[in-house]
Amino acid sequence: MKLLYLMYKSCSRLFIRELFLVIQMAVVIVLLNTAITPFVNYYQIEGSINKGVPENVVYYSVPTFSGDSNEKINYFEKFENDKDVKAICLTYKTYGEINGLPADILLYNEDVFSCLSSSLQSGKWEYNTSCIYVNEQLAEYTNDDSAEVVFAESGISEPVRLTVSGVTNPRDIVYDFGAAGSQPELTRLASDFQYIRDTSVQHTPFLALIPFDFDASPYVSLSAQGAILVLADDITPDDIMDKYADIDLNGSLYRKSTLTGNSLNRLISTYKFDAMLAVLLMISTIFGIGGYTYLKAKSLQKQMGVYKLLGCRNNTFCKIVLFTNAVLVVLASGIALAVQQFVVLGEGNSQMASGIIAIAFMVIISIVPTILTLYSSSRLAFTELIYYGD
Amino acid sequence: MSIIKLCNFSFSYNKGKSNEVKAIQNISLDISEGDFVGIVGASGSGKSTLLYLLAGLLEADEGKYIYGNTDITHASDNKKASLRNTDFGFVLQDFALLGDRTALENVCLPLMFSKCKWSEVENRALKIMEKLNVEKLKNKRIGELSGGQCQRIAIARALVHNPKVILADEPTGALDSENTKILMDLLSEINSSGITVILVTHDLATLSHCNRVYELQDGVLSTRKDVINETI
Repeated sequence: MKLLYLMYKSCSRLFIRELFLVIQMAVVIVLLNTAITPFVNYYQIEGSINKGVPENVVYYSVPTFSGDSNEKINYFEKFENDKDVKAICLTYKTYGEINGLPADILLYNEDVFSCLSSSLQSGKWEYNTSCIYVNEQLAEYTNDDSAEVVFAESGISEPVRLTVSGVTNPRDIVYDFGAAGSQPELTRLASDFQYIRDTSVQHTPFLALIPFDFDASPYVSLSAQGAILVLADDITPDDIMDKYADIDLNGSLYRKSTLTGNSLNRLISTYKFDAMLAVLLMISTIFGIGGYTYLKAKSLQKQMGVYKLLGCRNNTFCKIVLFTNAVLVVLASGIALAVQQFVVLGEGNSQMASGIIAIAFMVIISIVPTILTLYSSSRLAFTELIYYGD
Repeated sequence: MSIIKLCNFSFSYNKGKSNEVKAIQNISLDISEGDFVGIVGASGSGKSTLLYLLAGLLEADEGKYIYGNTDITHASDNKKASLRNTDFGFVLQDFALLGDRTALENVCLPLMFSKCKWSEVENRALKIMEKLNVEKLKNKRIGELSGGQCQRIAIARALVHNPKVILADEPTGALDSENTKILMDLLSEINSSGITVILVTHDLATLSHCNRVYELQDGVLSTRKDVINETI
């Protein structure tokens, strides 16, 4: 009780300054969370890639602006006929209407399901071309067991009616091999549906996934801009790269490691401002709050001297100061996380991860300077404590 | 009966460094229970250092410190802190009061670190404040008090935990002559109740209540019987 009282008095002594510190910390955590969220997402996505994409693959990227369409389809056929290639995973992103609602549509072939099914993390997926899977928002508008789908710019002119087989889980992930750039994209099927790596592109809140027979629709096959080639067990990516080194593919082959490198470069170029902001924020925060904490501990020197004079043990004083800081950190983190709910748009999982990182960061920058200051203060002569404190 | 005994006590600031200062040199001192000891000396002579050594806030480089029957020369920080909390009361020149707290809160402080029950803390503080006639100041912040009032609050704080020894470091340094007299009478009254008082000062006029007076010169202690004779 007495210790709690002393802690309370220690807090209340600097109440206004502490209040400003809490506000500052709250703002810092929110900004930090906002700045680091893309990076947290990035690591989550990379984890999903590593988990979902087999090691023994190469990625075939086809530029949209070059080559004869017939040649392109010939090369897809060439890979299909190559015994070294076990499967070709194709997706095609388009848009259209589901029950009259504008929606994004992702078509995928059977090989995606059979080779990369782990990427569909928790959904119970089946490959059936007469089925459709919808995200949560869309599910609200598809009360019956079927949905009418109208494709735009896909060469499929007639509306089709498909059975609604399931609703995607917010944590489900699926690859989009036709996205911009020379790498597969991941689509997180969060309830607010967004392409995490390409957040600049506007999407409708509705998404449908449709198992699709690409061979039956040449227009869609021609439009595919990339594919994951899953290799036979005894074939390495180098074997395939060497095999096609002298052949004009009207596109390029990439190893998995190259894709990862490309995505990192892309992340840096896309989020370099955020990264710079995060680094500057961390530096300014460390100096700002560290400096404030140091000054605060200096101002506590008189108190420390008086306490010491009256028989307070060093560990009791440390407890008082550390507890005071811990209360402030928890308070600030709580406020920040509450504020963040309104400020940061993102998927819940990554939000929590970035929140934890932010709290850990705040604890470190608040507690470490205090410990250092207590240590340096403990080395001061008693007269310095009692006569030269605030 | 001896309460504090120092044998060949020495202390230097920055020991072993080029800027070493020998503050206390080979002091031997024997203080009995109920003594009112005065230590005089010019500024920088080592008076306050000696007081901090007695309080266990500094540790001697050489010599022996016997408190009661216990050798506490190399006692742990916690042991010394415990001793300060139970056996010593402090009255300092700048009062060493916490300005953001009330007089009552300041008087309560030593009990916060003692084994005194939480429910008894305030009652004990109020009792001693009543005894010193400062209970009306209990809700005033230190900044609102005069120097004399501050010093009486400091004395209340020094007495609240029933110490055996009062260590007073220039307690009249910030007071006018009237408050100096009041304070010295108070210390004398405290001493007459059996509490040992060790008074460090450079003001010879305050030594009239002391039964023993020492002089410190450049860290060397000597007896000053003349001072007692003059002042008495």
